Amino acid sequence: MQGPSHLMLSWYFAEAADVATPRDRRIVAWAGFAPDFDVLAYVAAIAWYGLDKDKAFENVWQVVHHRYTHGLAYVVVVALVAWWLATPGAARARTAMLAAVACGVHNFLDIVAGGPTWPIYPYWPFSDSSWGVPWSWTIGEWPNLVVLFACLAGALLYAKFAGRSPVECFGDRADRWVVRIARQQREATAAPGSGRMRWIVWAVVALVVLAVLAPLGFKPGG
Amino acid sequence: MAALRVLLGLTVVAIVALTFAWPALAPASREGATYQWLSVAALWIFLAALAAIIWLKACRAPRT
Repeated sequence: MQGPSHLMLSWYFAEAADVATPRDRRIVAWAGFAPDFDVLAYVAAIAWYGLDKDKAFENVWQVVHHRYTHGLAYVVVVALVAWWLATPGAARARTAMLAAVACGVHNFLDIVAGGPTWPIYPYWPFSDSSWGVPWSWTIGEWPNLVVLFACLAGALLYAKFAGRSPVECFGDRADRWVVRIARQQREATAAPGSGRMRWIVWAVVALVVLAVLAPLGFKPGG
Repeated sequence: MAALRVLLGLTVVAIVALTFAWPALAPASREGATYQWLSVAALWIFLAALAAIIWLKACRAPRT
């Protein structure tokens, strides 16, 4: 499943569980995305191999993706980090538990919808046994695309009707900006820093588009 | 809403079991129809319950 789908589904999961504060919803959402932080190794490898994507894929991405961050041990680490970051109080343990669940669900989604050649390693570092299924949907198959576009459409509709959206993951101001657009409200006066925020939002949109297109083999150079 | 939340919770328990318990208990069954059937069912029930809760929350949200 695409990274943006993981992030949005985890945010919806936090929202469905009535997580009270934006900060804690963000924590649960990013915990649901967290197993894909290993993409940083791929980005670093592309830079290391002088933008040779194929070499980086073969030597790094194919080796590290799903191995170290898609397992039970990583879920525990994510839960501990979530507990440390969560708003102190009675709901702190609940936020950490929901973050662990979101991270665990990510692992499941990658078994079913990550492609047959990308198994997870549920018991690493204690065991190197992998778990994947031959019938797993590849990243470009219709169920993954349906989930992605349903999440995106849902984000705009939820922003319009409920006044917040998964864009909350990137900050409260970014979310308010999207809500204003979804509700077709105009700003009375330009808030200080709104120009910078516009650039941040467009950068996020560009990153989301890249995150969707890159696994599909998009090659702008032809 | 409460019933949907219970359904979502049960599906999450099933998902965690299918992800972290099943591979240890029945490692030879990865190509079996049972695992496939349960996994695909759990995935769509999870997504449907999540969508239904979000839909209801959006409908009940106060209009500003």
